[in-house]
Amino acid sequence: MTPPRSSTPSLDSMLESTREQFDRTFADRLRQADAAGLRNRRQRAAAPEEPAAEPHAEAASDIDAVLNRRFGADWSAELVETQVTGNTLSALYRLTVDGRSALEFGDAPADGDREAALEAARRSALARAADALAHGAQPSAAAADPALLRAPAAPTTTGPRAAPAPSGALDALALDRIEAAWRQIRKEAGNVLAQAAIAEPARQKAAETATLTDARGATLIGRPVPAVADLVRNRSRDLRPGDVFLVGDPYAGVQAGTWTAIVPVFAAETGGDPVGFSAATAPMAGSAGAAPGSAPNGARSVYGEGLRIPPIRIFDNGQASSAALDLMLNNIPESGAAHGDLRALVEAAQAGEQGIAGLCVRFGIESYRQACAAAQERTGRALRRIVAEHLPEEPKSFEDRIDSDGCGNGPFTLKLAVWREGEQAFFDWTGTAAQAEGPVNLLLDDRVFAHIAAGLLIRTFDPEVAVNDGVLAPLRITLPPGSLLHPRFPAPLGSGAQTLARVYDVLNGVLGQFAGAAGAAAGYGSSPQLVFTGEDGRGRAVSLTDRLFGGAPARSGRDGGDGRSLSAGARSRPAEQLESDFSITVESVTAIADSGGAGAHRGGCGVEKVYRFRTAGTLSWRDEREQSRPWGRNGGEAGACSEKIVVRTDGSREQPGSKAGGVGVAPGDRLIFRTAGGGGWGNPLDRSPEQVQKDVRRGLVSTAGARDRYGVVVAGSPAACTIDRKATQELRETLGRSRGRSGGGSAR
Amino acid sequence: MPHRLGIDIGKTFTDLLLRDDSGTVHALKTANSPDDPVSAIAGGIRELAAWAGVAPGDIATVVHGVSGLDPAEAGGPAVGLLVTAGFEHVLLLGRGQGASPLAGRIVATLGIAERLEAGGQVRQPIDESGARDAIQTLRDLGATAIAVSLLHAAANPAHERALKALIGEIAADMPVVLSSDVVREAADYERTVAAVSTAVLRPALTRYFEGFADTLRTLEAAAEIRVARADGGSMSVAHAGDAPVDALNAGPAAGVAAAAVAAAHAGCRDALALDMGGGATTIGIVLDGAPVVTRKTPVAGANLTLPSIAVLQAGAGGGAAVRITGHGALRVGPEVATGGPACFGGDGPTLTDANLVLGLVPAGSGQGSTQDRAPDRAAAEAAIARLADRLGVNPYQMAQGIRDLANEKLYGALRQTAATHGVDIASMPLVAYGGAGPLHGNALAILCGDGPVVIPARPGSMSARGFVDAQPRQEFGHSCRCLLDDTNAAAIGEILDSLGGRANAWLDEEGESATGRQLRFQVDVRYRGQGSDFTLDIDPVNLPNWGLRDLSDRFATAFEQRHAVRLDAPVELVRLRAVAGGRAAGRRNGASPGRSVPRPSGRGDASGAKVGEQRIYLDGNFLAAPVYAADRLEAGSRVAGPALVAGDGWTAVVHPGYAGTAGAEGALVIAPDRDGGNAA
Repeated sequence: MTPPRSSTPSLDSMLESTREQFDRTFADRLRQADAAGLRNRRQRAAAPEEPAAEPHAEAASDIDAVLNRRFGADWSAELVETQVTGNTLSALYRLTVDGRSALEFGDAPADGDREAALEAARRSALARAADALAHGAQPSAAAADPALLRAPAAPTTTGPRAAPAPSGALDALALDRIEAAWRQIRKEAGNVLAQAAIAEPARQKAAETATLTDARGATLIGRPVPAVADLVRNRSRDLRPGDVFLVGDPYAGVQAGTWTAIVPVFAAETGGDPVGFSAATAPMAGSAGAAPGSAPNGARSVYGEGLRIPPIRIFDNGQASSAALDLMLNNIPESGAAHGDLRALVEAAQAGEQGIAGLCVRFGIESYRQACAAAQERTGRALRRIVAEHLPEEPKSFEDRIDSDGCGNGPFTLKLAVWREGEQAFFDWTGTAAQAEGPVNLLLDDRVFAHIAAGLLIRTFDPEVAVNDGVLAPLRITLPPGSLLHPRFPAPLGSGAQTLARVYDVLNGVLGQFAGAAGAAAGYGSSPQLVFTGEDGRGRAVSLTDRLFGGAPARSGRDGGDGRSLSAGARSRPAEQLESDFSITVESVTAIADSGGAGAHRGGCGVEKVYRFRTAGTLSWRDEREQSRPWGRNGGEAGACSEKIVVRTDGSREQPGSKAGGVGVAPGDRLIFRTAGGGGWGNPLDRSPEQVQKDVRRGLVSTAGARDRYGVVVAGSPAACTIDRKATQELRETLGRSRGRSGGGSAR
Repeated sequence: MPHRLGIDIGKTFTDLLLRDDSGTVHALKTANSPDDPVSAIAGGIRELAAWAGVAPGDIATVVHGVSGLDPAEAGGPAVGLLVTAGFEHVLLLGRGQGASPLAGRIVATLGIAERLEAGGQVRQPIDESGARDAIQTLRDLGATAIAVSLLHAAANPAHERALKALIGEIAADMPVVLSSDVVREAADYERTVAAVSTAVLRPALTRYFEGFADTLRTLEAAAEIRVARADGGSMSVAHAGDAPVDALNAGPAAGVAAAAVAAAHAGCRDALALDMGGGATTIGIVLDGAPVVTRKTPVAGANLTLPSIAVLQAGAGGGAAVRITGHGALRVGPEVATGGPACFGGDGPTLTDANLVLGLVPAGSGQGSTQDRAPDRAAAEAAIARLADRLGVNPYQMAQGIRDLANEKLYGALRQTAATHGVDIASMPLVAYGGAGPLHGNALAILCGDGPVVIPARPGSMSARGFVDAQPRQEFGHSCRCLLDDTNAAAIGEILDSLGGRANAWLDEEGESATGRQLRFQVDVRYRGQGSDFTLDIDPVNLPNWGLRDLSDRFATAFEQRHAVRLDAPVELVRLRAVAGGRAAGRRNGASPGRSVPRPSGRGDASGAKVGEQRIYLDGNFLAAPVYAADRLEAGSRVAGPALVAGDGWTAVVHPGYAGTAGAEGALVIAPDRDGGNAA
């Protein structure tokens, strides 16, 4: 177990007391306003008098004095990055106040004295950062808005569980409406993509495609798109209505093999500055490299993994940039479909844009901006409470492994330690393996990981909290540079999805150490992908990408699904269609008996799919869990490993491993592809004999498995088996004793 | 026009709706009797007929919807399943999105050694002795019906038919369902779900309608009994036995069909249909005068290619539970409050309670006539006030906040529906029905961009209304999955001929005259691999002349209109289809072209219909709203907002700045009041 890193003292007591003082003052004013009959509508007018509004106004004067006044001597500032764009110098500063920090940009004209420009940029950056820290909200354009200051002023009346009494209650109701609208807009944008996209990969995660951000690029809903904040930083001055940007670079925070379209949202009245951004992200078939359907497993650097698209403007003022489009599509097989997918992506992002613009019209830009900040503030507050109530103060850690990098190296360890200090949570990946030579590296943006980690905490402890960038401030994330999760450029990243699946497993594993019954066992990983390139039997070159599913993890109260996709849009292709579209015979598709980890709740079964190739061709695949079994929880057993076996016509067998490329097949050769099972949850002896019987009847557990792992004795043919109650009870008692437990649960 | 009767069985009440030979509509709601459902309906028919002055014997046609049937839950036979060996887990694995609920319902799935090629050629003949053993095993396991679903049976049903013959030899009276008889689609899982569902539903459906026919005979009624379909049409009882899956979810579908008619009467060819009841809200869409039919019909965990009217489930209705989360956020639905709204003695608070507190449900109107008692306003206020206290607002603000949030979600669902079908929601007409639809229609139209709102007559009985009009309809599809470049007009013409033949035979069996019937042909095309198809009409007569070039051009144009791009990608033929219809199945009369937005032209004085005045709280203001009785509003009379129009078990809210005009069909059309309220 890793000791906690030396770290700053717990929470910022001074900031907290400032906050409390602020809350009290504000509550008093509220009461006065109430008494005067000014409730609700007038609070906005009262807000500018708030003291916390001052720093920003003073930003132009001596920022250090302002910070001293607000935070005492207990703050520090650090220049993270400077950049000159045209005539503007931008400086990124990190302001740290007793353990909490905020990153903000400041701009200044860079035409004259660089030192003076830097100082001016520093002033504005630190003023913004101070605001952001004081609000507890994620930095955003709205942070500059004094009216916002009432948002964090919710005085909590009783204990931590009590509902906060928001300062502006009508506005709190408006916030609920706007949050509901964001959910609808996201759904609508996903739906647009699902409708319009051509290739299957672009559609399969349509429900997760959309991201809406505020004017600063802070995520309001959806998976964070770091490129949006970059866009704000680099191009904020020349964004225009009708612009669409495209990014497809894993080193720009976009997952390998996916593209993101970004549309700035303008509300007519703002006169120039976007009120937010709408982004749509989807996997692009063929976007990632030489091997059809996927990036090559053998890539040693990102340069071997296909076209990297930096943020470029593909629509300028509503006009498509044909040069950019031609360049990209020229690099992609089946470019017609890719063209359609790209347009679908743009259409989806524009659906989000229209949704946001509509909200600004209906609620007013000012209210909309306030809602953006208030939503993040509310989430941050909820997450801090979850952290304080549920996370351990002593570090808990967990590790798991990645089989291989496809270049003969491995396994690779992923290790995570989690603890809290006050309301601040720490997620430390120190101890994770160094970056790999092959493409299993995952450039895990800390914002993306914060959403993943916070998402899991929220789902586990308070599922109704919306996940947005309000989760960033309460989480401190350490991703050691040069590690598998923070590789140095130009490490190859093409198989990052497999590693990402393991990141989820490890998070669940840590969660299991402090969350009691909550949380899941490990699953089969990310859906393995098989690519066959050859011809279709009619002489035409074809490329088949088939996605397989395995056993989902069991969790408290629920079995894991058998052969279950982990995303709602991804479906397996019917065997009949594979056979009619490709020169392939699907000999069988079956759930593998006993592959699901035994448990009171059984892990899902892996799937065996047997292909016979009727024409010569080449295979490649990416899978995981061939060497480490998906572990169980709370006494549940691990699921079975995955396996890929090539059977030649002469009967010889080859097992090329977790990840393989360039595996030639001749007519008549077969591939047996077995996906991993999911881990079980709870003591297998606690599973009811009837459920075990049902599993045996369905061929999901063998008769021997029922006996040896569950202590259930069944008689007769599997399809019609009956339970031998007496033998079962005796066996369960024996097994219970030998497994070091009292004969527990056999009666249940 | 002969007398026609529509029957819609709901959860607790049954709607009966009679259209007599003069076109007058009479409706009755009667409580269900779980023990003897059919005799309760018989009592209802007797009562309704007496009220309408029609002898039961003179009712020519009864169209009956069987709602609430679910193949995963229905009683009925113990079904055994035979599949191609190696695919025994087809129901368990599905398409990777979880097992079909049918997997837990069947006796066993056994594999048969046999194999066809994708094109239908036999690669491995049936292992007959193995098959005999399997059939015997299913019998031994207690199977009382057998479903058969073999690989590539859509391309060639020979092996399935051979198995059926074998089953007949071993167990002569064993009911057998072949997947190829139910869905001709190259998708093994979906066909299997369809076959098992059919095997489960068929006996239950047949038995119910036998009992129903007996009951009609006791009433001395000799009406033709027809079964309502999910695509808004109807079919004979015999055909329903062939295709019982087509009878699932006919109620919401018929509601959309009736909404299409109501929209047409109001002069709208396009409309969104909002059916908001107590427990659920569904949204459908009407384009070009007809409900949009989809071939992605969700049944028992699979999307079947059978036709159904597209409906989006949009969460709870008036009974949506309202609560405040631990972190202080308001939630409306999707759960339904246990026991219903607080004002009806349930656990509440619900959306209905909020509407009651706002004064939008006038006393005595009994919102949702499915409730016998008047709503308890004090109980609603107490429930809403508890929430208001937690948020520090007054109960009116709280109630408005709940209503706003519900409307926000409905607006999102309406927008999603419009986007899915490629239409712009701005100024799209909205037909609002169900018990709670009229309460929210105007508010939603304001969000959508001020299209007209049609509150149809008897908005609580729209399913039964749709049943009354339901004409024979069925589709005959053929899945192709080939590139347009790989086929030719002659091959397609041949398939269309055969589909047309099957369609005509079906219409013959329905007793449709050759002159009255409609036969249309359609083709589903897409760019290869695309997730959604485009459906184009195809004319077999002109096919040889125009050829397939015309088809690919029309597709590219349609795609471009929708997605603003023409792609250099191969075009794939997905499905060919013949749509068989009775007289009125195709187009509706009376609809004007385009999306016309009728201006409320009424000048008629509505004061005679005024029955009271109600203090309401709407969008932040206390207002005095006159209450009008819907059944006293004469055609053409005009109601300026703010106003409430109260019907039997429903209330329509007319917002300030809007006016409602009563139509000849008993509908109320609400639109922006361009006269500035002068007439009020």
